[in-house]
Amino acid sequence: MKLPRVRVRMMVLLRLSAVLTLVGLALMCWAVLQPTPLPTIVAMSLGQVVGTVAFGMFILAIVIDLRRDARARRRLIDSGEKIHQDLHEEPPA
Amino acid sequence: MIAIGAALLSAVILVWFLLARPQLTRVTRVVLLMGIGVLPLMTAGTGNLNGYNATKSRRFCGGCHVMGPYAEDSDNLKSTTLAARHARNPHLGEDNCYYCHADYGMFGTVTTKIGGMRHVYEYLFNYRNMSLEEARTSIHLRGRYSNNTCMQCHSTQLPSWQAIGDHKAALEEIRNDTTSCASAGCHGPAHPFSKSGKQEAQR
Repeated sequence: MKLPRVRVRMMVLLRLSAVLTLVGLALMCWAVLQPTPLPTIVAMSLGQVVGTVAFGMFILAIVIDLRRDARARRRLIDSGEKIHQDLHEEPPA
Repeated sequence: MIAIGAALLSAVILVWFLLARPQLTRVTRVVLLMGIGVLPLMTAGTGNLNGYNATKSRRFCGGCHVMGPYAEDSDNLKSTTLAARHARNPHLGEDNCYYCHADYGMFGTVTTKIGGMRHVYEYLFNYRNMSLEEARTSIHLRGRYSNNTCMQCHSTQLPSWQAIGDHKAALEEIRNDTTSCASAGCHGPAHPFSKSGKQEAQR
């Protein structure tokens, strides 16, 4: 039951990351289109922080996903080994 | 325009991801890496470069209302102030504020930018609501205007420069910064309207 919850969290992280990236991009583009003090300072500080946080969330989501995949694969290998052991186990005397 | 192009491309990817809600396959991950990582980095990089260049322009400096008269004076083709005459020099042109107020040397760009952030702080907390008249008499340079800034272009080495009597007489004082190029007896203040305002206020 733990697996689906991780999946949901990861997708939420990805969507949040996408939304934050859009916000960061909007701030950065504002400065490009209107190069006056306020937009430039906002873009070079807040815009970059938002973008970096969004990218961090994306990396986190991907790491969670890869770990989940690795865990599932390990579980599959473990169960395969168990079947293999069961097949080759000597019958009780 | 690279910044805007990359941002638009990234926005298309992100809006697609948010609306279409695709399965998280390897292809989706790579596309998202482009949309959240690579393309926004391009926007940030070129945007930073653009922002850095923008902060050097006179339009940027004149963006705060208290700097308006200074920028207008530089824009004025009929003005004979030191600042306006430098603005008409094609090598300085639109960026004349920066070239005359920048720190030079190895870390000059960094210290100039840090100083610029201080200007923003001062503007936000002290000068934002100040009237132009009040600003004209109260705004002043932090510290002394160094001759080293002038000497970036006017090296004091050329014979034609040294041929001027006053230059020759005060050569050492000019080089060691004890006599300012912008002092009243020499080339005068670069923004005389602000100085005359100060004198009027002191009367």
